[in-house]
Amino acid sequence: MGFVGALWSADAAAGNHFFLEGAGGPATPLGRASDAGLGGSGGLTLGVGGRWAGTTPVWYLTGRVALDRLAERGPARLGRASVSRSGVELGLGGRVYLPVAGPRLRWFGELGGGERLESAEVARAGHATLNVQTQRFQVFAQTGLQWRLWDTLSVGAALDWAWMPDQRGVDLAALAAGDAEANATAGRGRALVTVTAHF
Amino acid sequence: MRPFRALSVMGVLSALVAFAPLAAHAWQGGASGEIVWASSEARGALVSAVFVGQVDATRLRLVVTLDLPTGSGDGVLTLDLPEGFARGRTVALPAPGARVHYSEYAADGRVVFESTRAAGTARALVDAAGMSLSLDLAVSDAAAQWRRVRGGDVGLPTDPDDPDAIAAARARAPYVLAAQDEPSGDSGCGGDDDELWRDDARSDASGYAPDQTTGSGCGPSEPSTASSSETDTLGDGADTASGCEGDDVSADETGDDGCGDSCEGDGLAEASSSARVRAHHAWVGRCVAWLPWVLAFTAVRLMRRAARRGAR
Repeated sequence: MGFVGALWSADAAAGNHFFLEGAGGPATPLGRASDAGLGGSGGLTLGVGGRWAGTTPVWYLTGRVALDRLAERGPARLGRASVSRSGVELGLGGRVYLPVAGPRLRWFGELGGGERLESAEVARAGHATLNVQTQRFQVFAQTGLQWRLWDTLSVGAALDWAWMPDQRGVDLAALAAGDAEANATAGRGRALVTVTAHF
Repeated sequence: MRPFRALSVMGVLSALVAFAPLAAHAWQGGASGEIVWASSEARGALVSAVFVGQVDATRLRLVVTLDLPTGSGDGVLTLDLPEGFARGRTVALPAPGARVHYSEYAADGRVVFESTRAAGTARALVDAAGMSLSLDLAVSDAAAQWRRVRGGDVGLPTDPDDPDAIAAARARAPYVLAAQDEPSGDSGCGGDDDELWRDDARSDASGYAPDQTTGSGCGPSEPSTASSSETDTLGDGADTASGCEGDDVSADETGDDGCGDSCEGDGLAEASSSARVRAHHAWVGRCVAWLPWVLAFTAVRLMRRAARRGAR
C-alpha cells in the first residue's frame, strides 16, 4: 500500500488515479521456425497510480487479463500440421505516461510479467488431434501512443510483445507439429487499438 | 460483502483460473530419441523420432514424428487409444476404440504413403514420472506396401529437461528419451542395453511381412531369417529376455497373452498433473492469480475513500 498510498496522497485532487483499458487487435507467434499465421487478441488492463508532485511522468501499477488466438503451421515434410493456440494471460506490471505534444498526446510504456495458460491444438489431415495444455511464466513489454479525447476517455494504439524466458521448457505443440527447435523462448506479438477510461 | 468473504471468493476464483487447465489432463510430455523403422522397400534402421503424448480422462494420444532416411520422406504416426492402454496393458491392434494413422510426406508436403490399417501391439504405463511406452506396429496400404515402427520400453519423462524426472523414468523403462538424447543404456531390467536396438535393426534387415489377419496379440511375426540368438525386445518372449519382475501387469482381462516386456515398478499409479508444474511456476502462478484481485480490491477501497472525501 505504500506505493499506491504515496501516489494517492501526493496529487489526489489533480486528476484521475485509475484507468480501465480495453485493447484488441491482430496477434502473431514470434520466434518459431514454423510458419506463423495471423490471429487475434483482446484484453483488459486495470491501473492504479498517479503523479508525484513536481514531476511529469504518471506512474501506474497495472493488472491485465488478455486472451489471444494464434495460428501457425508446421513444415511440409511432416504434413504441415496446423497449430491453433488459445491463450489466457494474467499479468502484473508498471506503466508510465509521458506527454509528447501538449497535454493530450501521451506516450506510454509498460513492463510486466505473469502467467500464460495455453491450450494448443495440433491437427493434421486424417490424424487424431492432439490437445496440449501449458502454463508458463512470461514477461511482456508494451509501448504506444494515446490521445486523450476528454479527461475521462482516451484512444490509442500500441505494440505488445511477450516472451517466455524459461529455456528449460519445451513447446510440445510445436514439437508435435515438427518444429524440432521448439522451446519456450518463443513468444507472441500484438498490435493493439486501445480505448481507456480514466476515473 | 465483508472483506474476508470477498477475499475467499477471490481465492476460489483465482485457484480455478490458475489450475483449471492443468486439471484437464492427467499427463502430457514429449521427448526425442530413436526408434526402429523398416519398410517394404528399405532395410530396418534406427531413425530419429520425436514423441509427444497426452493422456486425459478417456484416451491416450501420441504423435510420433520420424526423420526417415534420405529418399523416404518423413513420417508421422498418430495413436489414439482408449484409456485402458495407459494402465500397463499390452493390447493387440487392431482393437475397438483404437485408431492408428501413419503418413509419410515428400519434402513438398505430398503424401507418399498413408495407412490406417495397423497390426501389432501397444502398451503404455503412466505415472507421475512420465510414461513408459512399448510399440510394435506394422501398417500397410492397399498396394501392399508396409511400414513397421518399433520402440521398446521407452520412457517419456514428464519433464524431459529435468534430471530427476529422467532418473525416475529410467528406473522404470530401459530407454528414456530426453531432448536430443540417444537411447540410454541405463536400465532397470537386466539384459537390456543399447545393443538390443542394433540387434532389432539388423533383424529387420532381412525383410518383414505384416500380419494383418491373426490378431494374436503378439504383433507382426519376426523375419524368418532372424538369428535365434538375437534378443527380441518387443515381441514374443520379451519377458524371458528381460527377466523383469512385475510382468503380471500385462496379463490382463483383455485376452493379451503376455507379450509385453514389463519392468520393475510397473504398477497402476495415478497420474499427477501437479508434478509437471515446477515449484517456482506454482509460486509465481499463485501470486499472479491473486494479485489482480488484490489490486481490484484496493482500487475499490480507494474509490470509496475518494467518494467520502468528495461528499465532505
